[in-house]
This record gives sequence, C-alpha cells and structure tokens, in this order.
Amino acid sequence: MWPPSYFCSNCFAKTELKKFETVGTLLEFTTSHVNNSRGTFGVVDLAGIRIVGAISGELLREGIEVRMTSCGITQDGSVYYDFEPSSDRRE
Amino acid sequence: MQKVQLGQCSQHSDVRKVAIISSQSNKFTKDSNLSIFELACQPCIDILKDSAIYKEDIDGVILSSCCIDQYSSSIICEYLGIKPKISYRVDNLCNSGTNAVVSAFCSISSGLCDSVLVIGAEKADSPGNRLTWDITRGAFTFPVQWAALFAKAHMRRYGTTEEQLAMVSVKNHINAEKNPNALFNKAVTLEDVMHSRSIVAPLKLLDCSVSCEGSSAILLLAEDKAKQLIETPVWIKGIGQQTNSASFSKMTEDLCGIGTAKIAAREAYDMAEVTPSQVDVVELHDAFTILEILGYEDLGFVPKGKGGTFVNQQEIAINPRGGLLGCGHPVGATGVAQTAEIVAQLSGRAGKRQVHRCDIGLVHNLAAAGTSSTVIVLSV
Repeated sequence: MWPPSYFCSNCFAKTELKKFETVGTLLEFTTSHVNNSRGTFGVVDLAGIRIVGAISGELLREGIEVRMTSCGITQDGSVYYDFEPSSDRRE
Repeated sequence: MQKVQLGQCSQHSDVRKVAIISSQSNKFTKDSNLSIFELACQPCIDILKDSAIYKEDIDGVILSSCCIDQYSSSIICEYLGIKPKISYRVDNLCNSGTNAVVSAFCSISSGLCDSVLVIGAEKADSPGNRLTWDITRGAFTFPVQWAALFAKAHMRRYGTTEEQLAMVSVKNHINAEKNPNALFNKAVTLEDVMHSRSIVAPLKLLDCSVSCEGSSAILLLAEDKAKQLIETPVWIKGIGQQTNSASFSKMTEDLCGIGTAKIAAREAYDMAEVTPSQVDVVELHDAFTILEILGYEDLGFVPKGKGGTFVNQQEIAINPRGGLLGCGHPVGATGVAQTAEIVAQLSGRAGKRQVHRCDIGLVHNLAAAGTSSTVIVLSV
C-alpha cells in the first residue's frame, strides 16, 4: 500500500516494509512548466501501486514499460520518484 | 465478529424538509486586507439584517474553511452575537462548502436544529491550496498537474481538443462579466486562452482558476419555519456525497472521469426524483476547464466522451455566476458561493445574469482530484 500506513486498510493487521516492483507501466504523462516543478512527469503503475514521478528519456508513449531509477526525500522534505523507459536501460 | 451487510442507505425515508431562505456572497478579491473573521462575518451581517428572523433563533453555525485558526466558528458566533446549539468548522479542501451545507441539512432534517447559518470563508494564502500528506504525487503536488493528466487522457481517448477546453474558459469569463462579485469582470477570447502560457500541457494559464479570498453565506430553515417567513423558499431536494480516497493514486483507475461525482450525482438525482434532463441551471466545479467537461459527463448531461462537444449548448445554464474560472476559487468559500448562486437563480434574484424559467438547480463540488464529490439538487 502507498502512501504507507501502520496497518492494512483491508484487515487492519500491522504492516511491514517490503521491497516492491520497480518496473511498471506508464499510464499517462505530460510536461509541467510550473516553477520549481518542471519537466515531464506521469502516472506509473508498479504492480498495483500507482505513483506520479518524473519521466526521462525519449520516444515516450502511454503503455510503455518504465523502471524507477531513483526515489527519495529532498532536504526540504519533498518526496520524489524518477523513471525512465526500460528500453533505455544501459547494462 | 460475524459481519452483516447493511445494504443501501435508506436516506429517502421521513426526514424534515429543509429550505434555504437567504443567501449572500461578497466580492472575491486577490487581497481584501480583512482577517478571516471579518471576511466570514460580512455576508452574515447582510443576511441577519435582511432576514425576517432574529439572530437569537439561529441554533446552528457551520463555517467552511481550510483556515488553521482554532475554534473559528465560535469566534465568528461571538463577533455576530449568536449563541447557537451547534458551532463548528468543516474542512474538506475544495469540497468543504457543500460539506458544510450537507451538515446543516442533517442538523435540521434530524430535528436537532431549526435554523442553521452556513458560512464559507477563505484567505488567498489558505493551506488548502496545496497538499502535503499525499506522497503518491511525488514532486508534482500542484492541483494543475493532476488536472492536466485528466485532460491529456480525455483528449487521447475521446478526441477532446484544446479549443474545446478553451471554450469553457471563454464561456465562464463572459458569464463572470455580469457578476459584480467575480474576481474577473473581463471577457476573454478563444485566442486569449489559446495563446496564454502553458502551465502543464495541455492546460494553459486561462484554463486554470485562481486562488483568491472571499466569503459567502446561506441560511437554512426547517420546513415549518421557512413557510412562516417566505412564500417560495428554495428546497434542498437531493444530496449525494462520495469519498473514495485522499491520495491521487487511488483516483487513477479512470483518468477520463471523476468516479465520486458520478456516484454523488446518481444519489442526488434519486433522492430528488429528477433526471439530468430536468435540470435548468448548474454550478459546476470548473477549477480547471477539463473538470467542466468531465462534469458534463459525470452529471449525465451527455454520454461518456461527448463532453467536449457540449460546451456551447444552450439547453442548460452552466456556471452563470462565472464558475471558479471567472469568480476565483477561495477554497472553503466556493461550495457555499455555488449554493448561494443557485438559490439566487431559483429565487429570481440573480440580476443581470438571471437564467429565465429555472425551477431545478444543481451544485457540483469536488476536492483534490475528485477524491470526494458532492452533488446537491435544489428546486423552488
């Protein structure tokens, strides 16, 4: 579940942290020109967990597979998620 | 514990009828130089001066606001010299105003109160303008960013155009010209909207409402009291409300519609025993142009996907006040101002923007990417 919670919203059992799938599907994307929040971003489905993140790379289209390249919390406390198309992955 | 399904809500059974007998809105501004309490009291003073009831007879005061001032409704009561049974503040972001109206309806229909004053008031720097809890949005936390994703999806799936979005803004700014309380009193052209700077593609500056400050108030009475005072009160005939989540991610199952609004509309129509085709005048939550197009579909005025072609129709008066695009969007005040407008229209008190021959009106109000929605049907 995301945003995280201390308990499950279905059965109310205590939750625990677990690794989740970092490869998902780009559902929709667009480009922001808002100050301090610029760039291409979109909604990504990661095995049922949906989050909004920055999308880098070219030849983007809805339905492609993307992978999370980074995520974290900035110094001002903001959360971020970054993705790129799986096909851009450099081995 | 064995669980038992309660089944559908039996909301239509014997409840007291509730009327709205008075409504007032102030001019929305970028900066009024007034405190939240001064803003809130202004429309109430007008109502209390003009109304036939004594303020001692008001037994409920509900404030809709995202302000952070503690026990703000009680402070307003003290300023106004009102000693009600109930007094509290309602906060549900942009949906706060109609939530307060519904709370007042419940207080009266249950018999707890006979008369409730609902006030919507907001300062321009309201904390309701930006969300912090919803970390599913990552670094993209501005409302225009989720709205643009809805617009992009609707354009892609149904062929809705940027010009159709722009025409919503043109229509509502033209309507706002006739509303002395609107933030913007100047019409805009299709060219103005199309050439305004891009905020988040495909939404441009003039596709977006502006946060501002303002206040509005309405007075609700129980049926027997209302009939003593006024010949043709406006009745609350139907209410629908739905809350599905608090995070945007839970709203992405269908980016081409607002699921909560569809449910709220169905329940409100059922309770009021009316159909979409019977509605004459609508206050529709157009925080962004795409939301008005989605609203046409969610409220059942057009089939799914046809919202873009409905903008220039003449059958239903939609946002004669100027909508949020023309009037501005003081978060907690918006839903109350929308309700006040429908009351003014149905009472024949809407001045230059009066819609002719209107008997049934509807208010559509939602919060945070449609995580919650309210629909209220009113009639004379």
